[in-house]
Amino acid sequence: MINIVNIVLVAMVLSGATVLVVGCYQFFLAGLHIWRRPYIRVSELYPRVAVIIPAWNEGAVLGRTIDYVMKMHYPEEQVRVYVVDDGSTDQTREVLAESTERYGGRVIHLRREQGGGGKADAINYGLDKIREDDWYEAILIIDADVLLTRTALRRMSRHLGDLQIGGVTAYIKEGTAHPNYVNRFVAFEYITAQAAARRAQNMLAAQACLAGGAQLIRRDALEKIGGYIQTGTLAEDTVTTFRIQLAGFDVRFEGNSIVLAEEPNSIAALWKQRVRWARGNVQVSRLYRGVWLRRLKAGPLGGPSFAAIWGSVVFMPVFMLMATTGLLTLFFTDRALSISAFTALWALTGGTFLFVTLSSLFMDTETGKRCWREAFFFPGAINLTLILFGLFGPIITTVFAQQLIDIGLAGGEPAVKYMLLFADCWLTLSILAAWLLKRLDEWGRVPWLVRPLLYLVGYGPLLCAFTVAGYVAELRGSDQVWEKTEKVGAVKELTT
Amino acid sequence: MRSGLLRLPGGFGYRIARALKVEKPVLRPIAGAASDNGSASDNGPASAPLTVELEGEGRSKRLRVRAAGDIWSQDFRDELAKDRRFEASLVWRELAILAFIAVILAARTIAG
Repeated sequence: MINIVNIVLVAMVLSGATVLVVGCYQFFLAGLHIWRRPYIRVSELYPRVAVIIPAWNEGAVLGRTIDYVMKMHYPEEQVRVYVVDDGSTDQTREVLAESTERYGGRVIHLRREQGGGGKADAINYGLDKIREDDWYEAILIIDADVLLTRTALRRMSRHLGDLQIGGVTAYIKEGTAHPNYVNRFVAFEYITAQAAARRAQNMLAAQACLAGGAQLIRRDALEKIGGYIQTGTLAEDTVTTFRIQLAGFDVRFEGNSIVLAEEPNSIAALWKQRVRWARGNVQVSRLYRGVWLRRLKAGPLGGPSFAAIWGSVVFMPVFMLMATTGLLTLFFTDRALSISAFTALWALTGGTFLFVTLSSLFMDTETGKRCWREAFFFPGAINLTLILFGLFGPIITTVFAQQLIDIGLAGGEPAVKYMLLFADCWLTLSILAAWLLKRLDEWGRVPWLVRPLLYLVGYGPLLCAFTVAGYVAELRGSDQVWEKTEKVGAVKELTT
Repeated sequence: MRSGLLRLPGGFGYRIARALKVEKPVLRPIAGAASDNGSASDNGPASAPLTVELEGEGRSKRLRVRAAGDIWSQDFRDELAKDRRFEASLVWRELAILAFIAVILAARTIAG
């Protein structure tokens, strides 16, 4: 007779692979992107674009960002740059004075004496000023540290030939000239989270986010959502994207429009940025609770595929906890089934991991060359060992049965039991380990130890830990402080 | 039947309808955005006739029409062709990877 409890427990175990299974689905969709005919309604268009750059103490990077905007292959008279100096106290004012002089009336310095109100506030201040001269046809919001490639804007603006398109976003790539290990992990993450995931979302006609680093918004779409960026959340870019789509416009990701960004180079700095993002995602999930799985009401945003993609990110730690609970319960109730479920989980994880990783590396080969090691160590060395066990464990235990018993790694040895128990718990323990790693990085006494430990624990568990910290911050109702990520101008110079 | 097929997600219905040669409704041309189907008339001069085709994309169906005045520069066409080639190549890359993984899994099964 089929044991219902065991079926539920095995399902809980297999839920641990949800993130990668959904990742696989996204890559399948991304591969079929051309079938969606992404260029079916493009036009050679050069609308008048008001570029808004919110800047708070960005003197180290701002000048170069403006230079790159001005060097774009786009008609000069069709671009104006509005820099919202949000009460900066560094050399931002001097840098802007120099840019204003060099580019004449095309760079406009908007100064707010009382700054620090957050990015959305600064953008809204800029929008107020932009509306006064009634010149723009579209706005491009970019971060103060990003470098736009020469064709980035025109590759985005061609989509505005379709009146249904309300916003277009670019592929933000990690662009540090001399990347350290954290930068390389981020670089790989961005291939999966942007190049692949957003192409998949194009296929679904539902985009989760116009990347805050480069979002082009058509004027009438902006006006239809009230003409302002919503404040009060930590994910103003995601909220804007949802509002534009719920107002009846489509939003498009243009993967061939490249924008380089400087990303944090330490776990502690990354933690600040990502916990803010994770908390923003939790806020968006609550804010749009009436959208999920309501296709008739919300269109593609309410579709099951989009819900699965969103849910796999927001509920990632829940799946890990469920898998561990399932494995532990089976460990004490049905040891043989526990081992089978464990092997199945890691075999499934292994297959999907291989597909996602190789697809990512071949989707952006230039970035892939820089970060292929980090791609394979993304889940961490311990998880990789478990993946190898899942894929080849049965073979190894059959072929090397006697040798494993001889060294105490098989049979009824207590050590084997403890190893199995540890392996069963690792999915959840790894989140805790990632948090400890962040504390170790903050402590700063043993910087040489942080790097090998990150490769051991993995970047994936770190992403999970960000999400947990995001939940905790939201549940505790912590202050929504806009903790600025320090930028020093480390992005490489572009030649094209 | 065609309208039913066009409701399928991701443009698959459109392809099935085209493959089955399901009859298209007659439509009047209206000015709109450009096409990327690469036909001579799409890239032709301003006086080229409009091409009209019903497109099914998710929830909406719109006309794929290139306006008479919408003339593309050579740079723009080259860039578009390059981007389209890249997007089309993704499916082949993924198929190659899937084949590689299938070989590994087959080897595992045989060895096991």
